[in-house]
Amino acid sequence: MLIYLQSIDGPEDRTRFEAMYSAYRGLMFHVANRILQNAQDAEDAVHLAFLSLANCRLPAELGPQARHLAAVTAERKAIDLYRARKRRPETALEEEESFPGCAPPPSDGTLAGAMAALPPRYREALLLKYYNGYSAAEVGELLGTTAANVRQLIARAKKKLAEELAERGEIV
Amino acid sequence: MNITDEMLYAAAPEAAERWLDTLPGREDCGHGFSLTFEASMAPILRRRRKRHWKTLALLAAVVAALGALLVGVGAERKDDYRVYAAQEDGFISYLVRPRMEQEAQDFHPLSPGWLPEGYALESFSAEGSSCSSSFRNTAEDASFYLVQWSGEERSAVLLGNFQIEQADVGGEDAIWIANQPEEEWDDTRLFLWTNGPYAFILSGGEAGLDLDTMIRIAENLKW
Repeated sequence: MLIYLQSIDGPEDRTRFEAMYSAYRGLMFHVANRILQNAQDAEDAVHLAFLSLANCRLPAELGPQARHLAAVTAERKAIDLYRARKRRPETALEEEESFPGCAPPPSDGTLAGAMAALPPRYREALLLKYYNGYSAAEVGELLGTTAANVRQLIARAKKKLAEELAERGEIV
Repeated sequence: MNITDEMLYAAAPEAAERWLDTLPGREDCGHGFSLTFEASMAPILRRRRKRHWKTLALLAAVVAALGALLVGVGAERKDDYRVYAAQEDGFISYLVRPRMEQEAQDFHPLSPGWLPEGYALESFSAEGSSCSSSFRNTAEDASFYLVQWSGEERSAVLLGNFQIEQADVGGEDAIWIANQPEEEWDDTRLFLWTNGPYAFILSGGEAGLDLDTMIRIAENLKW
């Protein structure tokens, strides 16, 4: 499904948006396609991701934060499409579900390792806030949910991190 | 046991780096995007934002409409249509459904037997049961796009001030959708129709194609 929006603020925002489009659309397709396993669906996910990016505050320059933002946005749209294809909306219990193509890096008992290995929904919310510096409302816009739900996601993610580190004997 | 914001801010860069390390580098992410994708991105790359409250109000309306997509023109159900468009306040939605054949058949791309003066085929791509062509007039620096597919139905929502007009291509229903742009780059003109197992969308806003020209292109497609 294609949705055309009137987006993107001034010339500076447009330049940032075009730079991200140029630099990361291939990566975003890769991220979406490894989840959806279908090129046309993956392109739809990338399209939807750019619609979200067109309405958000973009990093001033290309770099790890911009790459992370692009990849996470594509991942989220792909997961949403994956769920839609299966006609299965997310429930609270399924926040921790993993998805094909979303194999996390192995956790090594450090907080950073545990954060990177979180289920996608938790990792996305945490890193968009603590790495990209977005507010709960901005994270909500990117993830397609409310600010209140983002705060709940982050609270649950922190709890899960604490449990996992405690299990490994880390003092938190 | 407590994880503080300070701890998370400190660990986040390394966590992000670890996750990003699971993704391939840019050189390994080559993908030839379809013309359909390129055509759908063009308006986003060109447009400026008009303020949030209006966009959000429209989005809310769109979300409401998506739940019961296409309940619009006429008393018949959308299932009865090959091409269908409905207009609401601030947006339109459309659906194109190729005829499903009893027996699967090979996909045969059609090409225009007539083109507006100055236009020539610029590129063609095909994948599975879908193909896209772009036609360019280099003197006027303008292009239009033709997408053909079979099998699945496709639908979309377009925000803005659009008009819908019924048309006819070789006895099959067609729909013309166009906006009233304040600026030239915002010009959107779509022509949707079906022909047996195939559906088509002609996108001619950038080229400024009028309805009669689009009908003529559609009626002169050939094997």
